[in-house]
Amino acid sequence: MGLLSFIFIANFFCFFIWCAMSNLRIKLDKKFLENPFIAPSGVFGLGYDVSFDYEIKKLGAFTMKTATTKKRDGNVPPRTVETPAGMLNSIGLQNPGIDEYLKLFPTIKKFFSKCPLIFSISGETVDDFEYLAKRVTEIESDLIALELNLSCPNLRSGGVTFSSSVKDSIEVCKKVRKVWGKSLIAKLSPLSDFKEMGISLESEGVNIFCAINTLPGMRFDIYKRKPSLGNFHGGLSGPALLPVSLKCVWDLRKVTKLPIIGVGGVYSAESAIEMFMAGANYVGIGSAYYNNPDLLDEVIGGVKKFLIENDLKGIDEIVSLAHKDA
Amino acid sequence: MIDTTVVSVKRVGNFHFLIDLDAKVNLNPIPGQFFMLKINDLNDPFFMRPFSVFDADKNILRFLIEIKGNGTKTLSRSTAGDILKVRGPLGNGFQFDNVKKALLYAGGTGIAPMFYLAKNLKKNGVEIDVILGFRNKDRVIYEDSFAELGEVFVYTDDGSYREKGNVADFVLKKEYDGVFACGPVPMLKAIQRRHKNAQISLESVFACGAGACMGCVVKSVSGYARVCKDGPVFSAKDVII
Ligand SMILES: Cc1cc2nc3c(=O)[nH]c(=O)nc-3n(C[C@H](O)[C@H](O)[C@H](O)COP(=O)(O)OP(=O)(O)OC[C@H]3O[C@@H](n4cnc5c(N)ncnc54)[C@H](O)[C@@H]3O)c2cc1C
Ligand SMILES: Cc1cc2nc3c(=O)[nH]c(=O)nc-3n(C[C@H](O)[C@H](O)[C@H](O)COP(=O)(O)O)c2cc1C
Ligand code: FES
Repeated sequence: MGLLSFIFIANFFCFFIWCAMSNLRIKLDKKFLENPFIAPSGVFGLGYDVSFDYEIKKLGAFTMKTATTKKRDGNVPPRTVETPAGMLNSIGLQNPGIDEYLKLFPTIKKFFSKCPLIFSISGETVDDFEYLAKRVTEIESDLIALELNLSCPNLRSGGVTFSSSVKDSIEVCKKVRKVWGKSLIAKLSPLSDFKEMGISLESEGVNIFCAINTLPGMRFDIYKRKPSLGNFHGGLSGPALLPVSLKCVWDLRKVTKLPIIGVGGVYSAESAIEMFMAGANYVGIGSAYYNNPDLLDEVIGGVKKFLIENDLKGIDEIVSLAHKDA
Repeated sequence: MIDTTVVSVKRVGNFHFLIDLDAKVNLNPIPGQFFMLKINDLNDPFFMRPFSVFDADKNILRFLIEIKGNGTKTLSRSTAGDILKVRGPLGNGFQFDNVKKALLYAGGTGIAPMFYLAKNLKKNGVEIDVILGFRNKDRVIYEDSFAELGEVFVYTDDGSYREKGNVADFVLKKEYDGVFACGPVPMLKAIQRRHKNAQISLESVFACGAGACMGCVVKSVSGYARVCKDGPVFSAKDVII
């Protein structure tokens, strides 16, 4: 009897711990992520050659810095400037190009070991995207998804960004879908037409949306009497972007049932919960990490606490919750 | 991140303060390395702020900080017992293992990493000449402290104290096997011209301070280099400033 009750109590205890541990686990494609928090592209570079220690490996998944067909040197410095509760960056997609990326990939994979990787690509033409996607298939088995960074100018459309043109975005997704078998993520800009994009890209085989990239902005150095950034303008990220990204995710959720990675300004457990309730299935933790390198632990701990205190079994129960009566 | 406790905050001259932090463990920073200090929990200022190690002894980290804007003003108002979150030590420091005769150039707040370097050189028995440059008499600090570590030469831009001119006016009479510099860009350019092998400590705006964002870059002979991760100490011949 003593042994039986011991086994019963031990089992109950293990189950309790399992619930507490696993309530953040969530599926992406066919794989379970340890938690729904994803590093958005670029904020953490390639992950391995940085001084952020081990923390970023605790993320549910890691999106690599966007790769382009050829090496890009990036923009003239200064490349970052602060804003109230945020920052502008004009890095200019500095990256070593797809060939070098693929050579570096074994090192990146080894560094992340169990943390699933998302590869991000961007092109200046539709053909660039297709070419890059084909190249990424060389390492497809080691990736969980491919992300299309559509926030760059299409040289064939007079420099209008892909994400501002539904037609161009459709073309990109159509071509990439033909060569890429696994999950395909379309990353949208806050200036996208979410209604049109949501409906059209879903039918082109996009599996997940990522919303949003940075919002264009400027600051000026009044003593030098010129724009603060070498490239003049940059992209706003950080907490200042949160209300914009929440509305974008909200609007997108109204038109699609596909999973959404909600990115932009998340800086606390509460703001992450807002993002889930607005319609995100996964949440990007980006530049706010620069301000607070303890952020990931705080968000994971805070979201778990919220679920327990509100008798919720998992993240799924808060996704799109705010849409229920709206 | 490391939670440190503020031990003391003391004014130094009219423009700087010294802040001592107890990190509870010995972090063994290398001279030239820096820490990112979190200003507050308000997300504004948004970036953590980089500061070179001015001195370190066992658990205590000491920073010499010039009050510039909101971030440094807020830090200057810290009081003993406050908790200050920091990340570090970060970046590549100075290399000085085989140096026997060292020449150190420090301009303005550039004296911060130089003091810790000089202390470590002295510990290694290195002969040190220190050239300090300040805007004017009002800004001269730490002349005596450096004098305990080596021979000191002071320049002021307006000649209001000691020699008139800048540190690059110092007439070289000896051979040195290690040259180190930290200070404003025009000064570093002048050092670069006279000492191809000098180790120079650069500054830039740091967003991540970890080598991730590619924001803090400086032009180098092999493309853009990250000041926070590939530096802040570079060989003078490798960077285009
Ligand atoms: C590697 C490194 C070591 C440094 N060591 C010291 C030191 O030992 N003592 C010291 O007094 N200062 C040091 N600085 C400079 C110090 O970081 C800035 O003066 C400080 O960040 C200014 O903050 P603020 O909010 O008071 O000023 P702000 O009002 O933000 O700006 C004032 C000036 O500081 C510069 N600045 C602002 N933010 C940053 C940032 N995130 N990174 C770098 N510069 C910035 C701006 O370009 C501006 O010229 C160092 C900088 C670097 C990069
Ligand atoms: C320094 C930096 C670099 C970035 N690089 C990329 C990139 O290469 N590709 C991309 O799709 N987004 C890039 N982004 C945008 C982020 O992925 C994210 O969409 C944006 O920063 C908003 O999220 P946040 O407020 O949480 O940072 C970058 C952002 C920053 C701050
Ligand atoms: S500050 Fe981000 S790479 Fe240097």
